Amino acid sequence: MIDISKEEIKEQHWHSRSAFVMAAIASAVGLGNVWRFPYIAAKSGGGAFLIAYFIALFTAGIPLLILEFSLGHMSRGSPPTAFAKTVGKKWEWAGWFTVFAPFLITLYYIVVIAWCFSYMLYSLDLRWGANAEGFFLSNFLGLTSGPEILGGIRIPVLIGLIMLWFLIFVILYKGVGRIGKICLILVPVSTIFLVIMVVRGLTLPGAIEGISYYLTPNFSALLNYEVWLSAYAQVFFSVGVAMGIMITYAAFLPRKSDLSNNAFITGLADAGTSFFAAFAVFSIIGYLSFSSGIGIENLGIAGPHLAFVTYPTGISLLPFAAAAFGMIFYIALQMVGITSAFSMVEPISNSVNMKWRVSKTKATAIVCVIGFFASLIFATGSGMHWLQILDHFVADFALVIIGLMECIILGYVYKLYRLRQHANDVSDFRIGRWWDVLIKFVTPVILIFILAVAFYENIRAPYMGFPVWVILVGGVLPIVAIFLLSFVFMKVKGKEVEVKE
Amino acid sequence: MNSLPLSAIAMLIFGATVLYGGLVYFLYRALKASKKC
Repeated sequence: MIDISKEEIKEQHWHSRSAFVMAAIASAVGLGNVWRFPYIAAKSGGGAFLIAYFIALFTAGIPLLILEFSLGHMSRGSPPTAFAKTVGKKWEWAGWFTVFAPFLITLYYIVVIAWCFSYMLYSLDLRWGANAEGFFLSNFLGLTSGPEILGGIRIPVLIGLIMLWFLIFVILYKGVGRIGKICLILVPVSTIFLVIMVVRGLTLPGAIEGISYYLTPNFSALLNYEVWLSAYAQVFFSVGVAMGIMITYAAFLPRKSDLSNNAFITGLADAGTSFFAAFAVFSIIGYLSFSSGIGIENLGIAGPHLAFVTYPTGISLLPFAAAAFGMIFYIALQMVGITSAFSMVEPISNSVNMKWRVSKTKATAIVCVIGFFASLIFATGSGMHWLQILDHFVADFALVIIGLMECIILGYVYKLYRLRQHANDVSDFRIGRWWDVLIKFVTPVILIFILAVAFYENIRAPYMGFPVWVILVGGVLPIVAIFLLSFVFMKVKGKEVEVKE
Repeated sequence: MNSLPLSAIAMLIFGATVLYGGLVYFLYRALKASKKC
């Protein structure tokens, strides 16, 4: 066993509780809060969806956060170390699988942030003009007719990628101490920007119709199991579990840390941001519907289409300061995006650092360089196709499998009550046996159900009509590769390192 | 339409109460416990 030097220990610890909480919130709050939650809520019963969402948050999201905080804090190590130390050496692969998945996500997630960077600049002269869709797909992305035609690398995206990977390296190479400082600034600033967008949106004509579309409840939707699946899936993807981030972050907390309370704060802040961001989205959508005469249901209200087609169209129609509001919107997206992106790189960088005793600077540099080259595929003219495929398979399968794996390994192979006892020993309030029931039975059953539905739908028809070989190469192969790589990394001999106070 | 339907207002209050009320409650507990981390 090799100990980390005192200097490294200082750099690799949270400077305050607020730094840790802000970093956890910043990691959980990402682009999905802005472009996924509002859409899912609106199509799944409007205001009634909130009931299903809150139940999912309290029965799966927050319990899983407590699980990951407890595992990281008790083991004082990166995810591979955490699984090896608590469950057993032969389970180290589970930790590696957990850190590889978010790294895969980062490869395309960072490209979307690079798009936001370009669009922030384009906002200055509203360069998308009257045809935002044509500008985005043809002029900006140079989207090819299919994934097999790569097209050239898009220079604006490439420039954004170089800057963003370098930024991630600078933020991460010193350890979590710097992450905390950055998040203490970015979280409040992005919240202020979001408030500006909401206030601006709500003062526009048609905004009320947009908000009404979002919040008017359809309680009969709660009888539809798909609404409940959507609620659990949204909570699961949003709170940032099953990615090794919360395990890694919690490893650097002092011994006496309130894990349960921190989990509730993180989960509620994440959900609160989604709930609030929807007002910024639907007020502008309502305004766009009012101005163009197109029904809200016919406007793109989710994913990249929302951020790069619908929203720019709405911004162009603003009566004054359109450029300023465009910039604010894309800066806010970059802020919430980059804080999630570096949190997804930190687990793998940290795991390499801990296993092989490579310096944090070197480990981060290796990961960022590999990440940069691997993400270039998404900067090509066919990038959007590959992005959609990988995103679909990682989100629908890899993360759900990891969540399920965590519940089963920690719930059945390991003695789960030990993690509960650990959380209770250090936390302000105690969690009861209900938590064991949620982790061992409720959450796994729901995750199996989500997985089964996703599997059935993918078998029934190829995703978005893509050729089977494209789906295999772009979606299945990366997941199988990281799964196998997890065992390879476990087998390679390392030098164990433990985080100490 | 000039105003939000009553049912939408009710869901707005419900959502805000659970999320922000809950957040304030747990932040208050954290401050009360005044733990370092």
